[in-house]
Amino acid sequence: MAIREPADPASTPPSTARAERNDRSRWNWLLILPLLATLIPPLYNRENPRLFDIPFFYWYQLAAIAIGVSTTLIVYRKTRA
Amino acid sequence: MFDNVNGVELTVFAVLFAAVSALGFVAARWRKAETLEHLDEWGLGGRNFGSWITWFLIGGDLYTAYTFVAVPALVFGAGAIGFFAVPYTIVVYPILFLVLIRLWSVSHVHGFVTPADFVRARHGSSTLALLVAITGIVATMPYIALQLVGIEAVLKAMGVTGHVPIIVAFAILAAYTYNSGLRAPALIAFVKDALIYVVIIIAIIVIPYKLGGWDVIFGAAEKKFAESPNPADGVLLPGPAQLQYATLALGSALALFLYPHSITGVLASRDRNVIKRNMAALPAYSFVLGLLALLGYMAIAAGIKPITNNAGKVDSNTIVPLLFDNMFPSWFAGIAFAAIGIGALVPAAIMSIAAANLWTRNIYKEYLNKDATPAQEAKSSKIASLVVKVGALLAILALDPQFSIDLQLIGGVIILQTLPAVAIALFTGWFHRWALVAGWAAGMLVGFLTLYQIQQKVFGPDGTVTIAKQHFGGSAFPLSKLGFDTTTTIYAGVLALLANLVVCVVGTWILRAVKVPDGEDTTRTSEYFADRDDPRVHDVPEVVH
Repeated sequence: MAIREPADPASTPPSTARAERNDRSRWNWLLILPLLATLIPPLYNRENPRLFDIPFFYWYQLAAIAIGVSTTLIVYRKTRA
Repeated sequence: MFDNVNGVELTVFAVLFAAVSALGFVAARWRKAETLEHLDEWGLGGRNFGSWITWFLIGGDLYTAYTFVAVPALVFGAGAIGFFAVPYTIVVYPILFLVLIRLWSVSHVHGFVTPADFVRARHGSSTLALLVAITGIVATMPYIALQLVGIEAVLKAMGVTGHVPIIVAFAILAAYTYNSGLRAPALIAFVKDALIYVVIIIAIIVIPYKLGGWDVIFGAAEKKFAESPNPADGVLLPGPAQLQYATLALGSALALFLYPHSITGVLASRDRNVIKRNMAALPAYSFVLGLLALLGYMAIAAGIKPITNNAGKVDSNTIVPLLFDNMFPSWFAGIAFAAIGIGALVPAAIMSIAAANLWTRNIYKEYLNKDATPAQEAKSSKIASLVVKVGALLAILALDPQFSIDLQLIGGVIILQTLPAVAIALFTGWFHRWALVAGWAAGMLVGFLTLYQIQQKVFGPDGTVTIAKQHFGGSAFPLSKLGFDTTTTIYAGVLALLANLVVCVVGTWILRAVKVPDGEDTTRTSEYFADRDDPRVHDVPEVVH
């Protein structure tokens, strides 16, 4: 199976060059934040403070979804094609 | 078969089920292509789905009926550990953000349909591609079978017993998948998600109100786990379970997008931005999943007793359907049941398409019919999708469903072993092809050995401990078995992955040192950044022989 190749590497379109810059952007480091917030259970494995009578363990992790969404959204907007 | 059936529930369920089935057949004409006799059309819906369709499709794909039934059941039985589904679906998107766009780009330049297609081109090894394809098929089959467990739980709660209804449901599913390909689940996913959202939002407001508030709900759960002699349960994580919680969440997240069916959803999207936007928007489902998990505690507070099957085993998967049956008027319970039932159809369809594509691209075309035309490829996939579904049906009907549950547990561990060859390889071509093969084998071995040693214990009320299952009793591997003086447990899949990675790295050093030839990498660095307007990217690959 042969694949069409551009005539020479210089013909790589600007969008691809831009995508490469975006993929290497420092903004991407922000994506570590939600991992740190959720993969260390001692941070949130406690009962108090409660919110609407729900133990901290549960409402914290539901709230952490917002951390995930906002960081991913910021990175998307900063690196969008 | 229909003794003690709730007529209203069953009628609502059947009407909704019939309506989405009709939708499945009509889907063939939605966003009509010139022909469905091409794998890019039948198997990837034309590779042209925008943000909304992709969101519904991937959401419908990942959050399955089995998830909706099994996660609350786990919370019902063991408490906090079952909530791992929330961190799992939080971390998955940031991790995949940068991985999937690269996979999309290189796949669209080369016309890859499956992860094994990529492996073959990246590492120049058809052996490795075959291993990845077989791993994908084996891991997906029990997952399809488990969707049936979800439907079965709902049917049981309505009082319907016997195998005929399941066979009918799956026959309908098989027929419209054959007919419409990926367009069918994409269209049905809209209905499924709308139903799920409505049901969950109402449930999460009405049930706590009826039970007397969250205080009462968590109070009942604390009382249950305080009385239970099992040291591993509780409303909070017991100390030794914390590592298991974190590694299970991380391991499940890494495994999720190695499953061929999730890659199918990603490759069907239109451009890189669609994927990025979806990584930000998909956690909306995580929120619903978190709320669903809490239904497990509501079932405790409501005093729900799971149905015991003919063999005398308690089927805790029935607690969510029973809770709805208990708390809601029949017509609404019927809608909720339909949401779960339809929730089984979408992923089952996508999974069977993905497994069929692996078969066609990496076994049929690679070994059986090298000169297959696009039409022959599409035909082969359509037939394979039927075979896969019949296999799943037989696995549930002829074997103990527990067998499928065990297999799915193993499936998560084995699919994780394709991480170096598929996901890490998107960033580096450094690994030697034979080191990847050896790493895969090492990961498989460690995975099986650890899962084999995990026992399932039952704690009697009088303090006695009996071994319910000698082997494959869960995924929490006690580190004490490795000689550590601790009660801490870890997710077996992560342990297997570590072994895999060590062998990949050391193996690559050794093979380079003794100058074993590398495979030819036919991908180029710039191809990993190609977007829709790159002339090398085409929706339908033009294969030049």
